[in-house]
Amino acid sequence: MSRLRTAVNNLNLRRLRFWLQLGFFALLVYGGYFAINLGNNLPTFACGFNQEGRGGVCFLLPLQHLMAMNWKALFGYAGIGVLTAFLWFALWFFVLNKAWCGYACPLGTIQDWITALRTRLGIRYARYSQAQFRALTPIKYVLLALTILIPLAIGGGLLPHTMGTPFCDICPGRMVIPLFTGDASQLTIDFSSKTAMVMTALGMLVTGLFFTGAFIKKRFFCFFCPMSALHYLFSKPALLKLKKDGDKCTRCGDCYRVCDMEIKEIADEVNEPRIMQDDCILCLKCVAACPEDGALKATFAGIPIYESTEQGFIKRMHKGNTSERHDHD
Amino acid sequence: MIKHASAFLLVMLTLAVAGGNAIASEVLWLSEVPPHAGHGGGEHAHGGTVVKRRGVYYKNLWLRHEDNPQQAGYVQQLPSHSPLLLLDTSGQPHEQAVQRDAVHGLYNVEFPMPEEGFYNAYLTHQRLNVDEGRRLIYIAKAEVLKHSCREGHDDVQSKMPPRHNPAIPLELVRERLPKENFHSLLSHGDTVSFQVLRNGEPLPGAAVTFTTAQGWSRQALSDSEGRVSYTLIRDYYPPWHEFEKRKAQPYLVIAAHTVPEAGEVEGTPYRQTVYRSSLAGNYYPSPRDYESYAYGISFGLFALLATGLGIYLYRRRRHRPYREVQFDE
Repeated sequence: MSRLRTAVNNLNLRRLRFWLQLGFFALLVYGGYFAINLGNNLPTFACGFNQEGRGGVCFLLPLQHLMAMNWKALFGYAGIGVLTAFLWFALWFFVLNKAWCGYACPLGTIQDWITALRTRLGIRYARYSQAQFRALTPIKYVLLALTILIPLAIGGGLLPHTMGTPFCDICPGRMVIPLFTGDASQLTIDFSSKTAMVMTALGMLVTGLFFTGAFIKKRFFCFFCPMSALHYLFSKPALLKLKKDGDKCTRCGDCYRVCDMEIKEIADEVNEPRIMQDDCILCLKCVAACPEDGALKATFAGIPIYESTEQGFIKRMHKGNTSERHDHD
Repeated sequence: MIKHASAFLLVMLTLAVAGGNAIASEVLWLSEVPPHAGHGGGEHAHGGTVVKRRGVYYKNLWLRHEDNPQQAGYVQQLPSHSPLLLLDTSGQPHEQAVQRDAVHGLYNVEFPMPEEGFYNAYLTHQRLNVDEGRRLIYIAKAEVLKHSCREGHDDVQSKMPPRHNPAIPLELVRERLPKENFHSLLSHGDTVSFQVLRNGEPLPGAAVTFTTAQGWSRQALSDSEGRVSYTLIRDYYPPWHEFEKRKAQPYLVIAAHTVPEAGEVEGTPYRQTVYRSSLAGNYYPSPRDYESYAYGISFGLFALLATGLGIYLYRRRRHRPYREVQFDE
């Protein structure tokens, strides 16, 4: 048992994550071609606009549709449907927590591939200052609020129906993910109404910005992702958790340096064992980069499944001459 | 087959022979558009307007005469109250009573649609043209989709193929577009095909007339497989600020077939029988009219290049070698 645990703790996380991301990408972007359907309430960007290939649908799409129902229905019999959809979302999320972002999200994976391309080209990446970081963090909550409130206002007749899925209109996933199945139909401006024109133009501008941003900033879009905000609101009871033993931490800062989301608390916080922050994507790169035995660990239902060890750190850093070095690029 | 034939026979037996001017013109068809805004009300759903009661969708169809799908009048006099023959999504026949609305006495029929898929509704009516010695048999058909996204999208393709009723003497069947699903909409520029069936068998040489809301009409003869095709013309020219991309443009298809079937009805002889079958539907503005790839890709590229150039210049400025500034004191 201890040998198995040692082997797991020593594993090359970067390689494992690459293959897991690739598997999830294939499942969620091409699963539809193999009659795979994981339902309409997935806590990740399995884009519903990827009509034929999708292996499931991102919860934000049905959420906006449901919220846009007229209020009489929404607060009547149809409310049961909303609760059922939310329950399915919560059940999926309960298992993997925010690892849906770090391992399963196709848009996150695309950003990681763009980062790998930048690394190969030898172009340095950008980081936010702490002031910028603090200013940007609330944006995803604002977007989440708008994602719910705008459809709700439509259901009440306060806004036009052409704004029915406001977040999908501006989400780069709508434009980018269907491209992987050869569908370029989302790369258009819709001139059928003023609202549609503004929203689709905004969507294309965000898509252009997405490519530049993802090229120079790791996980650029994830800072603004309302799904990430929704995750954090329900992350406490989830099974997969990231924990820190502050007594074992030397505050060397390795974890902060490898963090794609630049979460400073991962290095600074030594009192609170539940270290996961709202921007965390549970990629576990911090655990892999930590040289202290048991300082950082991932647990599933309270059982440690992957934890930092000195041996694992040395092994990964030794291999890192060829494979792990990109974490710092 | 026997079940269908007996159901049709039952419908025919309930018909009284309508003398004189039972309906004003040579066509009878089923429309989902109520005669007045107050009739039926209802909510929008995939497949048209429905009324929802306790979570079950109900469809209301109105009997109309005259061949313009927009301006045709509603039937006020129909001496026989023939029941509607309804084939549900599994092909099982049901009868539904035709009723008159309380306000204007117009003929309509309402039926529940508990299951996802297509419902076929048939209403048959016959009258004698004593002067010309002809028996006229009108077959008004409607094909109604029931779909709610809340029911999911599993197994859609198995529910898509059109069904027909071999007991119907003359039937129009709309063939499906490639990859058509519950969300597909016919739009102008599409080619729509119909098959004319005589008791379930393809009927060559039948005269089929296609008419749009603006009065554009085209007649064609069915080919050796009973098939006839039309390219849908653009029939909707509003000012831009009034444009609705979900504007339903009605069409009406009428097939006519004359056979030398002689006989008599209640002592009145006739020399031949004329069958007139109708099928109404809707098509919509084409996305090609209001969506632009050129603008979409231009906006995306603009955002990509502008932000990319901005970042490049920002980094280049920061890379400039230090230049000492000397003040002349």
